[in-house]
Amino acid sequence: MPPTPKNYRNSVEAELNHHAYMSNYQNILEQGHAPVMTKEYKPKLPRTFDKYLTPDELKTVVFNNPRIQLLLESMASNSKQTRKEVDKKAKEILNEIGLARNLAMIRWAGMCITTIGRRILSGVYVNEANIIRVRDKMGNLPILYLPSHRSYCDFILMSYICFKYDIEIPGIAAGMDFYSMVGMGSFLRKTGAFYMRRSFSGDDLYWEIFREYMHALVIDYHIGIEFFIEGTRSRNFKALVPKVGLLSMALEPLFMGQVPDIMVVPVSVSYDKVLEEQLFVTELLGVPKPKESTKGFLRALKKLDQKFGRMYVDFGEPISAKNFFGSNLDRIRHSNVAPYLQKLSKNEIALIKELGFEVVQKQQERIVITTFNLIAYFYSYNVFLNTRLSLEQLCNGVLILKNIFDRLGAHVAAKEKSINMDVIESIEIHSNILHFPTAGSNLELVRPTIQLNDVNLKTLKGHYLNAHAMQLAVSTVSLQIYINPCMFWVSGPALMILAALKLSNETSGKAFQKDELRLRIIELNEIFAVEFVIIKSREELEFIRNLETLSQLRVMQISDKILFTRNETADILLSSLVPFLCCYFQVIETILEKCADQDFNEKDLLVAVQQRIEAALTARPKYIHPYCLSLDNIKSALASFTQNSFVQQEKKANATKYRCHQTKLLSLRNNFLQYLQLLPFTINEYCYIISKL
Amino acid sequence: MATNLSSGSVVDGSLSKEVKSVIPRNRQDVLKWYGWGYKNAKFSFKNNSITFEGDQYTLGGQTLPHFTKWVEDQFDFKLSDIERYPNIPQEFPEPKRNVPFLESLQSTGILFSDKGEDRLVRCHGQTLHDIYTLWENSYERIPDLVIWPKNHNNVVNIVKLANEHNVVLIPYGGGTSVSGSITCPQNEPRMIAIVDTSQMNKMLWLDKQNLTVCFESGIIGQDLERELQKLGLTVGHEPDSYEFSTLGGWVATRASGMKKNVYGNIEDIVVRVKMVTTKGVLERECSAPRVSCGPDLNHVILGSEGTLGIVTEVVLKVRPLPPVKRYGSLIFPDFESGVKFMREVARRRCQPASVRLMDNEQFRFGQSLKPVSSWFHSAIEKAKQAYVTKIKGYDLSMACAATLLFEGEAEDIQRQESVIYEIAKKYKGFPAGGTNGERGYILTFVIAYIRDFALNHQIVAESFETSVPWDRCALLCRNVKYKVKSECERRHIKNFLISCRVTQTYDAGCCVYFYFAFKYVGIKDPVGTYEAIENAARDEILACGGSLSHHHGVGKIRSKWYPKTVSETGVGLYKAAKNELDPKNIFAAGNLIPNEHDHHTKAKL
Repeated sequence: MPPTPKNYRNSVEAELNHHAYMSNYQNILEQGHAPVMTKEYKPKLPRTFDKYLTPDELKTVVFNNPRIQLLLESMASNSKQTRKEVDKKAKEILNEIGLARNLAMIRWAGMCITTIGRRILSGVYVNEANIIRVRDKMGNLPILYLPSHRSYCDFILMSYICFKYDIEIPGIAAGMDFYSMVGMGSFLRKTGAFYMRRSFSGDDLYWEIFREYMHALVIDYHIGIEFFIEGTRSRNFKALVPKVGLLSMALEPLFMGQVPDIMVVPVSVSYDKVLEEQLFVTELLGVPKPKESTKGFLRALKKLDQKFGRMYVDFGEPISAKNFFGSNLDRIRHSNVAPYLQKLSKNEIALIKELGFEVVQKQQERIVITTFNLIAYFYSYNVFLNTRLSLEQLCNGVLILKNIFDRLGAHVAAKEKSINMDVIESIEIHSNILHFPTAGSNLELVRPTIQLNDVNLKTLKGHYLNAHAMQLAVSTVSLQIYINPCMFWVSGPALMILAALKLSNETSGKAFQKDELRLRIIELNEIFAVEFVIIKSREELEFIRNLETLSQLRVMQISDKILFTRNETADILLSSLVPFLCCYFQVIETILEKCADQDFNEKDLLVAVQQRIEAALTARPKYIHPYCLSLDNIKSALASFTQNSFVQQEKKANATKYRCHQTKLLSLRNNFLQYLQLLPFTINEYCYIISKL
Repeated sequence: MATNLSSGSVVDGSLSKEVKSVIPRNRQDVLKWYGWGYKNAKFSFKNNSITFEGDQYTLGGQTLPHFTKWVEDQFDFKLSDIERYPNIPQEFPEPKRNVPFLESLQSTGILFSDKGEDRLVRCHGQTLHDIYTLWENSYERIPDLVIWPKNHNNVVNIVKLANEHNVVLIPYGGGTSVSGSITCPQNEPRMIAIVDTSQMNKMLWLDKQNLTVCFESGIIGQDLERELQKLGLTVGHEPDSYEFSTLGGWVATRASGMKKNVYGNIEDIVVRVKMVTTKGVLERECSAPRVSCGPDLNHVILGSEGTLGIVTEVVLKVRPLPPVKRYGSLIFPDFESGVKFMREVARRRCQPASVRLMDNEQFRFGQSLKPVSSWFHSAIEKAKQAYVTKIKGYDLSMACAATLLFEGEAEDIQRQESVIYEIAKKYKGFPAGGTNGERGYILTFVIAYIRDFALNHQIVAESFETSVPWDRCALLCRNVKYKVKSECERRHIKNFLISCRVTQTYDAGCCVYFYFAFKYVGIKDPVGTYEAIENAARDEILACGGSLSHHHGVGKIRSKWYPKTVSETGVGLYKAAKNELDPKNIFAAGNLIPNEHDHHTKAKL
């Protein structure tokens, strides 16, 4: 049995299981444990065939696919191109996509990783029991590895680990960014990558070929497939709503009866610190990501004298797609017509989407909560309380949080026995964000030195922030992205507390009905569905679980009614919502002020919100948190408002326009305001306090 | 519920192919409203000779002096150049209007029309009765509405609404029926809507691996073949009506094609078929080649003649186009030798794509359709005739001919030919060349135009068909001819023609086609007379072990014999199926068994 949150309800058991769990992790960079890159590589194959295709034969299979042939035929007859020309075009596309393999290259890359890894990391920790469990289950089904995506290191690491544990290195869907890097493109291809354009629109031939390539990998090829279900690296370290495109391509053969089942393995990769950290922070604030180039890669290598702490990799329990879909999977439906002539129905896509959410859920459950996640959380909480933290207070705080997170079911890296060492080591690694300026002083936010001289104003995604705002934003966002991984665990309980706080306020502190609470939470879940990746089908399950956890934490007393008791735990949990509540509130205010009765596009809104926050920061603003400047945040607020019809979306040929529903949005604003007013924190002072630090 | 939409189609619609049909939605723009085929194609008598007009055919524009002589001799009269073709009526029976139905239909956005002309041109098939009534402009009941669905889902909607509002639906494809099956039940009190499938004619998909293709049911034969042949494929189903008849019609009537020996009849070609009934969609949920899963329900659809539902989509087998196509012909001293030859070919199962045996009358008729030829050609013809009569010693008033069509790989054809010629030799037949054979097949599509020409010259010309076991084949031909002859004599009809041919061979029997024509000058009710004689002939056919129909179907005109052919138990089974699928008798065309509902309401009226 995999550890699920349920197993952790009893704290003693939790502690025991947790120890057992964390002890399964092996640092594979340790002397004697690192993969021997010169060993004979006879990996376990996900599938066995009588005859194995070479990468080139795989391309031929795709080229000869009847659907592709049909398309080429019609292209040749409907355009000026000859059949030979369209065939050539198709082969070029296949060569662009297709994976290759070079074992020597893999060995060489592995040696580099060991060397560099030992220099900059304190360890790559792999849950051995779990990866071996996956390996044991392999042998007769297509397998999809779906890792969480926080860094480009994810796929390098995955291949390295597969080599170490004698698992066939999977084909990895990589973005075209790498393809165009000199040398890097072909290097990654030889170590397992196949390439995917970001946008398929407007190029039918490419789309069809890519789709059939994916099908052929699943149906006819013997290695696993790896891709990132979140679609992109999550810049803010929160889970992203799963993308359904690649997953449905990969699962189509199951629906069409071309494979008996597909094994889906969620993989959780966690980092103390990712290489891209500061790039992400500036990206979140609107400075576009630099184009991947070999030069940039080499420059990044130079940075590698920093310390990045530990990385954790955990292979989740393999999910049988067939079992997951259960009786909803109707393969007979598709058995009457050749697979290549068919498409999936909306219902089937919805099923796949559910599986996508399940995978993200499972990834998140095994993402290790690092010591710095807890430090950032506790520090931020104390800013709301306007209290300073000594090292000792910080360590105590981290332990309080560890206790809460253990109960919630998270895997926390910090150990009680070595808490001081863990905290000091973490702060050392993240000394660009938080530091103790002198021995014995309190913990402080670092004032970043920002050089944005070479920023091209035209490429800015939002507003050109002034130096003050930028400085404040960089430090706060850097801090917040380390709190964000915690949101998977705390957003549910925190929203419940928020709802309870309001209900309790309305009943002047008396107990209230469970159903009332449920209704409020459903409402809040709808608003924050995008932000916290909440899926409707899990809502009731989560409601029961959160209620139980909060009663254990003595925040709720449950009899026939529910009585809410505010305590420190409640405040700690609640504090996590502040940046999001503020941001959504500010986005609403901006829309109502600037675009109440006119169409606007996304960029208009991003600029307007950032301008508004920037101006407000100089005063003592109400309900403003510098994290409101993060564009991802504003975008998910807009997505949420659109989904809930507070804002109407109109997709036109090359632009998407929005228009707000004024009365609806006004009532939402008042709702938010009520919530904000009830918060037991000095939010008004937050920016002030931060900027004084 | 009539809808089965919840499960939805699994097929990727982006792969379907629109087919531009030769026949427009406004079919009267291209087709004769009063007769057979293209507007511009017809036989006419000009400058003392019959000419065939119509650039669609190789015979188009040719003068036919031999044919002229043959007609004048056969019917003992002089042709005139007067044309009695009718003008399209300007007034039409007032349509019945089921207003709630029309309102609901309007809201679906499906195209429909209640224009008189649209209704008139779809009120009939191609029986003599149909055409004569048109010429006389004496239809009392024509459809009240014409609806043009664009796809399967449209049909589902139409059937659902018709069932809700109690409106009669008659499916209509190419309008080539010769069984009265699409003629309106004349006493139907409810609103009658024609569901014209011509606008649902897409190629939904083609699966080259399995050699199957899925078409919507409204595609006409020539469009279907043209589209497939562009891709190097063929279905190979060529009933004589295939220029105009539709896939759905073939299925609903159990059509047979000329080249069935290679490609099979429609029931052999159909893999799957979808029929919309008032109770939902009936379809075999499996594409496997052969199944043992209870009675084959495809066969409930095949031959249902529009009485159970509307065929919307059909999956067919396709074959690669044959690299070689070759014609041949044989001449036999007499018909019975020819039949023996056919029987032997069937026994040895060595049939080429098509083999047909014509009796002496048809042999001579066929010869007469040769166009004017050069001096050189006619010299050769004379020589050939001399060879047949003088050297072979055949009596030209006894001789008959077989036409042959070979399709396949060159070496296979060669092998087939030598076997066929060897068998022919055994029955005193000898090869008479490819040209004669080819002409026979080219004429296939032109012969249908003779009916209208004949009618113009007061000659009734019709055909009817049957299938019969081998042992009774020659006997049936002889007896039916005798019966028709004596019926004519009894009615003092002097100028008539009765002729037959064996058009298909099977292991256990064959298909026989009769042509019957008579000059009706001085006869009061030519259609009634014709029908009485055909009925007498049919009685004789049944008595000789022949079937009610090999491929035309039962329709209304043969429904009185249907109980005898399938037994009362069989009728009970059919009725139970009808009652299950269509309890309100929405599909009230009244085919197979006489429309009880119709009689019932007639009594009430």
